Amino acid sequence: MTFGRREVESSINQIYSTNKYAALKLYAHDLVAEDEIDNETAIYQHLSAGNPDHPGKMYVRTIQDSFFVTSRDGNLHRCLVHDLLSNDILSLRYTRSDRKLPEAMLKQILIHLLLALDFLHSECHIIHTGQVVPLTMVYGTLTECQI
Amino acid sequence: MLLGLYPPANLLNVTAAKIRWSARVNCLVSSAALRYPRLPLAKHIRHLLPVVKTSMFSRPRIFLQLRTRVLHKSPLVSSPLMCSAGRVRLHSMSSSATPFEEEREVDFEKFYPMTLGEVINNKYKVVAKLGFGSASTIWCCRNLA
Repeated sequence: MTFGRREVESSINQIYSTNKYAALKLYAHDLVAEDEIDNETAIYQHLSAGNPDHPGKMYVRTIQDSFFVTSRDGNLHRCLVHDLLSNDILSLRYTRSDRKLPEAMLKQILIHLLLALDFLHSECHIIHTGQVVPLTMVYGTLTECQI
Repeated sequence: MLLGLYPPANLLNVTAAKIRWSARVNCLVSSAALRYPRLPLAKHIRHLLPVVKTSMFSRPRIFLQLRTRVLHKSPLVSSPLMCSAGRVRLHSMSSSATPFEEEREVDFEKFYPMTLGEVINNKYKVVAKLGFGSASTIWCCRNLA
């Protein structure tokens, strides 16, 4: 059975257009302070309120939903719903035989990264204080920010 | 006489070492495949497969590396034997004989005990595990709404 590129593209478009899949981030019970998670969701909402015409906006992770879940042990867990993203760049590197990204790919990644950073700086007035080394950063997840 | 000289002794040693090494690697690979049967085959994640776009302003390419076997699409009930992933069943119980991923963390019993196929918030059906951090686990879910 062959699986053509067109079908792959249509299935991916389906994922994006219908929000059929999502990534759920389930926090551990009582391990992270509540206000820290509140701060994270506040920043996500601040980011999603940014100028939608900026080309860097689509490279910043957004939040879809946030709620509490009760586990079968009766503990409350915070849950954030995100878009489905891909793996981080480190694992992308490790798919190569020489553990190096080709130059063209690295250029694309850096363009996306700088666009996202520019969106954060000029539109949302947020400074990214995390590690901006693209080896450890997940695509489009600029979450470790402080206002 | 010729047979004694060729191939040289050191070359012979090198090839013998190579053969032994590759045998060991093969052995390791097969044992890893036995230990981690959860890694999905390509046919299981076809519906999540990547797209390559080359435009500068396009969405970045997605390639998903799932950490669990992807749940079959049709059944809505979960069978705990088939879908052991992350924290399963009781909070003190591991999903496998050896601690797996976030189960090696210190406060691992505070993590959410997840079963594949579980429906969260009456909306999100858990399909596979994407990753874990020091205080959270990330799950790939299908939106039922």
